Amino acid sequence: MQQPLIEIKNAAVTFTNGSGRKKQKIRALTGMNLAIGTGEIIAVVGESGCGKTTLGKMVAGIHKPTEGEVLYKGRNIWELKGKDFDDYRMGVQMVHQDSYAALNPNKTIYQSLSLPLMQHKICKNNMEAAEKLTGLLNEVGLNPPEIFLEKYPHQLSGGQRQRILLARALSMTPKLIVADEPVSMVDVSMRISLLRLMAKMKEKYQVSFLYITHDLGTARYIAADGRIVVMYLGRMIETNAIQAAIAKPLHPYFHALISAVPEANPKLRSEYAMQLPLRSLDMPNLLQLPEGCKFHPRCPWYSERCMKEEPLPHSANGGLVACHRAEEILAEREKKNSI
Amino acid sequence: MEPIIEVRNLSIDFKTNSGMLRAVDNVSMNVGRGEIVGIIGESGGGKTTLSSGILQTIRAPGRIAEGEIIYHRKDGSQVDLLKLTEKEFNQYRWSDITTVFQAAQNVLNPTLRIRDHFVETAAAHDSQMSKEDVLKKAAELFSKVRLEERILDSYPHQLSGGMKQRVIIALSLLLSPELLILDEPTTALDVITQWYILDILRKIHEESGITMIFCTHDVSIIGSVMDRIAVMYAGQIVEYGRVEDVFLSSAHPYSKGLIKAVPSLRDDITKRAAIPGYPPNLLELAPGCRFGPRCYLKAAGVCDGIEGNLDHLQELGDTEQYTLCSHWKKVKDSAAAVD
Repeated sequence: MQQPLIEIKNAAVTFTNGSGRKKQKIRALTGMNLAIGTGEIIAVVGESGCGKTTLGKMVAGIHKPTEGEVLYKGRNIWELKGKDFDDYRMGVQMVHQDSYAALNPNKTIYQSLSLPLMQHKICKNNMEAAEKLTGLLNEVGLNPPEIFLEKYPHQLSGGQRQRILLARALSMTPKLIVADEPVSMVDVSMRISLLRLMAKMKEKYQVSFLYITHDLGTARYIAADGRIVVMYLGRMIETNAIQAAIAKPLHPYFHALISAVPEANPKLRSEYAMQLPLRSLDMPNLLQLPEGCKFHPRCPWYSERCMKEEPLPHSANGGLVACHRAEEILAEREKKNSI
Repeated sequence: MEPIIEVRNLSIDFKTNSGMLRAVDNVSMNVGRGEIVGIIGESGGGKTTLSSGILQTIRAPGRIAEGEIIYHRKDGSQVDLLKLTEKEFNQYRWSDITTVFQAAQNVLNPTLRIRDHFVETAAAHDSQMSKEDVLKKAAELFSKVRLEERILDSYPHQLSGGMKQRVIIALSLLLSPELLILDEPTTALDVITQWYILDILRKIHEESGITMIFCTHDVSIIGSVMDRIAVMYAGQIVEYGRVEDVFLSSAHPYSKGLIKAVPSLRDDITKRAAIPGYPPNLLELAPGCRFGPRCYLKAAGVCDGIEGNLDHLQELGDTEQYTLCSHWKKVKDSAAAVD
């Protein structure tokens, strides 16, 4: 197999809070294993607080893993130096959720976007930078580009700013873009066009995407032929090709997550789950995690084993799932549905 | 149907440095007693301004330019809310008409315990209730929103986002109101919490028959809870009708486009499409149809965007479906947004 672009090996991120006797350890990410290939789109989904942003920031080199390592083209990113580090730094770019906070309000779009080009010596002078940015803005659908280059962030709408961020990321000709909830603050009528744009850029430049979201609906649009990673309390609990995973969720948590997605069509109103397959709706505290499987206090299918032993990912249905009883539960659910 | 509130020709202006901005323009709508009505649309459409108009919370530089808001009391008498003085309106506030504000996370006072929020609210609006009565009622409401009673003694920072939202829903129901206005009640919550909140609201509606107005940009929740929806665009209601009619046989190109733009978990992803273009600047409105520049009928040359009736909703026969578009027949005839 080809060498993956990014490889996460057994990584964990722990944050410490307070000091002395009050010192607390928050395990935001535990035992993470993931490989991202060239030109692959991976959607990471989960509730707030499940560690999906921490995962994205770890890949982008913002959080250093406290255990394990992150490899870029086979080398640990925290041991890269000089040119090699530059190569990684430019190769992995981020698109943030809050497009307003991600752009300097005192600078025009041209000033903000030309800076990295000069810094990394991709363009020698202003003329070259302007030319390159004009081409990029054209590509992300901001026409005419000359006008947008002269604007300040507050003069643009959320959707337009998000396109600017995408252009900024693309200007480094990256290998991987970490997109953290890029459309959650964009108006509904424009979400799809932005998702399509990202999918188009992936085709054109062979960029990989790590698409972080809590909205399963949008995950399907960007990663139609990609993979999905479902996270719960800092752990990866299921991963599979996205269509297969949604059609046949294995982990009971992922099943609940899919059942909770509201259905807009009033004809399907009765199908919108009247009862969620969950015992409790509140997430456990990250500081006092339960023993055994971290999901068992909410799981309607839990057994004694789940209370003692934490499940490790095993392969099932072409993907991985971390549940002791995944196959049993699926069989029982299908039996119930066929009646 | 017996109405509870009738909005007639309501216009709300905001004075800005570059002129008068009409955020709500000549809006008329009736809400029947016991209904759940949704107001949907993109940001800047005027949803929040319209609901603040009903709640009389418009403050300078905004003002209500014209119109009437007729409130029907339970005993059958009517009152125009806009003609009341501040003091007179206070008799209706919270005891008849109440609200769950947007960004509910920030509504609670961080230095007060939850119980004090209840005691204070009751004292401000209805001095007849004793402290014991208030806390008894609060405990009752807490069981309805599925919170434990001990949460009354917590401070807001000790609660999660979903719990705070439930506290605020309980708080809004304290004085047994007739009409509840919810502004983006589930935005910024993840799907499982969102499902939970919607389920709670649905149960409360079943039990008490309270009238609800839901403002949201999240079109995907319309099918699961609402009876009727109003679609707002650039300060106008462009379509109003029963949810089945608006959703399955839209009579305005904007509602059709909006419904088509919602990412969903079930249908064919290639059929989804974003609405081209951006919403207009309300300070520089061109004459004619406000949706014209983004409309597919205008692009196809069917409509010139100027002719016909553009400021009064017309009823389509006897269907209780209203639209602004004079070419509604063509909109209805073209393929439905969803199957």
